[in-house]
Amino acid sequence: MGELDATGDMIAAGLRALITARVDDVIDIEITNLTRTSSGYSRENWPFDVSWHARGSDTPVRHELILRRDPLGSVLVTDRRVEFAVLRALEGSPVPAPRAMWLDADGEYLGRPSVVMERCRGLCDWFVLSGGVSQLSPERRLVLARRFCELMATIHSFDWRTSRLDDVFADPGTDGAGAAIAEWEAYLHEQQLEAQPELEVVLTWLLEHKPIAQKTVLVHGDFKPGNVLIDGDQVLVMLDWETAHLGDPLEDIGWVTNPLRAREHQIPGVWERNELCRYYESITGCTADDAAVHFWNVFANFKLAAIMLTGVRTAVEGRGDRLFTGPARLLELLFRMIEA
Amino acid sequence: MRPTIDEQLHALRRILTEVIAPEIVAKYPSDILQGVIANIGELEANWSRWLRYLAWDNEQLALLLAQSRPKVSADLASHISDALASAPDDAYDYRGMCSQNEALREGVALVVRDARADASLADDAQLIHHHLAEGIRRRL
Repeated sequence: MGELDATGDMIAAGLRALITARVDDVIDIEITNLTRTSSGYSRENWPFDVSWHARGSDTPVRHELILRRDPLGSVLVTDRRVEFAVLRALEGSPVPAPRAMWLDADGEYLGRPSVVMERCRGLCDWFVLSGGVSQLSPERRLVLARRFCELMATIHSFDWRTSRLDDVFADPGTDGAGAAIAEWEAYLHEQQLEAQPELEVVLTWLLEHKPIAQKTVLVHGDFKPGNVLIDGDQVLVMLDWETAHLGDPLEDIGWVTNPLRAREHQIPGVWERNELCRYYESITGCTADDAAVHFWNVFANFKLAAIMLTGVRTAVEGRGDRLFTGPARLLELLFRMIEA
Repeated sequence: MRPTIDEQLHALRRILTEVIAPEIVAKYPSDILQGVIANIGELEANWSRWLRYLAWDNEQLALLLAQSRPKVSADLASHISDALASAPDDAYDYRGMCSQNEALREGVALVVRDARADASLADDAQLIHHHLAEGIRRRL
């Protein structure tokens, strides 16, 4: 296993082997409803149902699960060990996240690094705040927008010290911006197929405008409605923790106030950048300073450009199923933002 | 030269859209195919501008690097000299122009990086910034 065209049968066999290795005295493992979905650009997602018996027991154990498996080529290179550690740390905390079941860190069973987690109920509606499939009333959209912000505040208030997440991530202290720049500069240089002088110009700007972090929090790193399962205007669970890290809380604020993604995160005239920042300040006590948020907006697009260039690389090297053609529009926005 | 490149790309896109796509029922390959069709459409719309863009970009990048060369480190000056010398003999050699573009872009990226610690390169970095902004505008 491990090629572009892993079939359902191969994945099911891998899952049975993984479960046998991870669960004591397990027999009669049955995998059903296994299918690959097209959602998610960074991991293969394989929802499935599983049942088994414990040896000597007549009572079947049943779970609704999802396998997240590294693709041959992704738009984002992250470590399943880290994702698994974060999910385990969040278990039992006020942060609603899926329960992590098993880790196949080196792809011993599934061909490539994989995590199996609980499949949670709820709707993934990327553009719910601008209508989306839910088509909530304007009043309920605003309720939901505030709940998204409250969810972010809950993540930022997570007690990462007690949960020992500092064993997984370095605490950047007041220099969350410097740590984020260093990480993504290295990532860009590793992934780019050719030099990107436009992004070097942006890097210069970022280095000259680093804000000082008010505190260190657990940053989600890809906070968006598309990573939240909802039921109407209720927030059920936060997904996709692969870019989580310790850092400046305003990094997530910069991500959700990125003008490029206003349709995902904002409601015109009702819930825009200012309302979002002021509400976040009111429920957290943090200050969402305009200059600092602008820095994190620029950083968000720098990070997106690095992710797009990873997609270019995987396509050119024949490891991906989608052809990304470069971040020209993102560069245009970035230059406007740093020249403002 | 019929079919022209435009005509070939247009025909490929039409065949994928009208013949292949309706037969693909599984969601994942269907989504991927829609992406491929969009990629071909983008190629069809833009490919004819690329040679002219590359010629302009290479010429301007070469001028900028020639200006910076006396002020940069010996290593970078040598890199710049190699990049400037890599211009293809044939003005219609697309692959040769792509190759030189890559070398020139690496040169200006290094000048921008060095300018962070070397104030004497500040004006060069500013000129490069202006050129890159114009390049983005022309690519869109």
